[in-house]
Amino acid sequence: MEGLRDAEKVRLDMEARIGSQVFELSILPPSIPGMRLFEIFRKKLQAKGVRMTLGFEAISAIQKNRRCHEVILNTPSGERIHEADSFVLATGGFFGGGLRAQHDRIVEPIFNLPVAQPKSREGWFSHELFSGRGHPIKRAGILTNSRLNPTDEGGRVIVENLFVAGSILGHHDPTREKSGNGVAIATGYKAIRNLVER
Amino acid sequence: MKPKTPVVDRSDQCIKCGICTEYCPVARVTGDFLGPKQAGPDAERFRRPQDRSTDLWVGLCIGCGKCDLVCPAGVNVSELTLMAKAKASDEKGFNLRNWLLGHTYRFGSLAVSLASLTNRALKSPVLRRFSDRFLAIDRRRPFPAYEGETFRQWFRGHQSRGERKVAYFYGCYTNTNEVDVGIAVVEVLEKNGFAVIIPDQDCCGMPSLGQGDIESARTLGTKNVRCFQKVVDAGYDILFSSATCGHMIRCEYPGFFKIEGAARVAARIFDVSEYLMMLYEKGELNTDFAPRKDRLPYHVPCHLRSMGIGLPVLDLLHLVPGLEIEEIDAGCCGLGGTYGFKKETYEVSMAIGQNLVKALKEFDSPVVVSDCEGCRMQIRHLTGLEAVHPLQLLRDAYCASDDKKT
Repeated sequence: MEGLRDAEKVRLDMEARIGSQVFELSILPPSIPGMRLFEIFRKKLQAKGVRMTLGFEAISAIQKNRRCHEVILNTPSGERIHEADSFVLATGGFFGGGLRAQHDRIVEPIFNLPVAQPKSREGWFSHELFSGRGHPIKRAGILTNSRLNPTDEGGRVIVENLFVAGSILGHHDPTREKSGNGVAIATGYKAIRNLVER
Repeated sequence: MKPKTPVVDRSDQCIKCGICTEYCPVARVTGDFLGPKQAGPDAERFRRPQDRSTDLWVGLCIGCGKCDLVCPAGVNVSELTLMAKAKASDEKGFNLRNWLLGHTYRFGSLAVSLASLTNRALKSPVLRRFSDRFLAIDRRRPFPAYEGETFRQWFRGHQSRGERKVAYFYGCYTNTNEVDVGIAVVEVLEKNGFAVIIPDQDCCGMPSLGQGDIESARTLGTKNVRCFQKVVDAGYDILFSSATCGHMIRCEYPGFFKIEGAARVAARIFDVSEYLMMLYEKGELNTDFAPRKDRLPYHVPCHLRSMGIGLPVLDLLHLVPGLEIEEIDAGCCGLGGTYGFKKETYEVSMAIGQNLVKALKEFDSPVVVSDCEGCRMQIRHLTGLEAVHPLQLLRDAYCASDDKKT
């Protein structure tokens, strides 16, 4: 558990003890560097008065004129409406529940955004899940412009005040590229930068 | 053996990531508790209703519900653990200590009518040694003192007037141990034009549930829901001022117990701070507060976090000019209701609270704000600081403003 709180101390201590360089490799979920990053942000943000509500699923969004006005959360106290000027969609891929496979197509359940995906269900399958050439199902996801607003195939922005980040993004294959944490950090950062600069 | 409460088993959704164990306050301080993942989804696969429980350590779960909040896969970790705890306690049979801790509401009125005697007895070293030895109630944990008059008695002598109406679920602790919280709630609501009524009510059942005594809790819940239905049908919203009672009546009655009619009334049950903020958003809150130059820490009760209503106390107290109120996110206070009173868990309870002690020391304020009586009790015991309910601060801000005018 010490590695979650003071990783550098642990790393240096190990190096001193075994007399060799030590580096960290991220493994199966949960992401240890991810949790560390979360804790750093949590402390800083709370100190700035930011409210965090953890653990409730966003189930739908109220959209009008290509803008999102409210997101609805499912909580033990019933459905709760959250209003905001802008939103970030970082609900993950299939594993996180950001993408869902229906009988004939892959959908994004909250905003019902178009999902780039294999043309038909046959393209969902391959004998090699961890093939070095990648797997088509893993490249499925949301298309965006360079500002990370979700777009359709033709590049038209669908929700102007929505920014998409992390493994729900289409056209990258975290398993083949080993890029999950990197894409999450880079696009999360960029999404917030774009949101703030709007 | 009975699980009469059908709980959906979502242990197959568990991805075995272990994030719940990382965030579990109990697993952090004792190796005797193997963590929520093991207590819930892991062990669930090996549990068969006809077999005796083998994993008695699940009784160490404090019931904060943090595991449910951090789970990325939507596993009902705390429910699975609670069911295992209940089964084990059923098998062990009647336990006087647990029965007493779960049924303190039955003695509340008596304790109040004999308050000076009760309080002397509760502090008496002889009684504490006796209850430590024979009931396994840890003598280091102070019992809360009883008031000389219940909140209900106070209210009977009080005329609540206002154009609007609202009902108040005060809970046992407010009624017999911290009457001023109830008075503050009534006064703040009256300042906003509400006539308050006090519906018939019994203990919410959380202390029983904490012992794994699901049936006693259900009986209380069923009774309360019947009372709530009457006032809701008469057009009242129901407010609570204790996060724990509130979590029980609003979330557990319809969610865990699935009590008939509970979901319908739950839609009309609100946290008092949440309700006042709803008024504020409609422009209907009386914001005639006297300024108070102060910086205070707010400890968020676990049961409030689990409710999913955000942190309305922060928004509400921000309306008092000059008052800076800051969330101190130091995790569970460690009391866990009756958990902190038991000999076998007293030390775990105190160890869990150390993060909070550290955070409060750094914050360095003589007063701490929290909207759960359990948390306030624990904060006083851990630190000796004054712990208040947010509505007491709000009431004081109204009063100070009145004083200025006269």
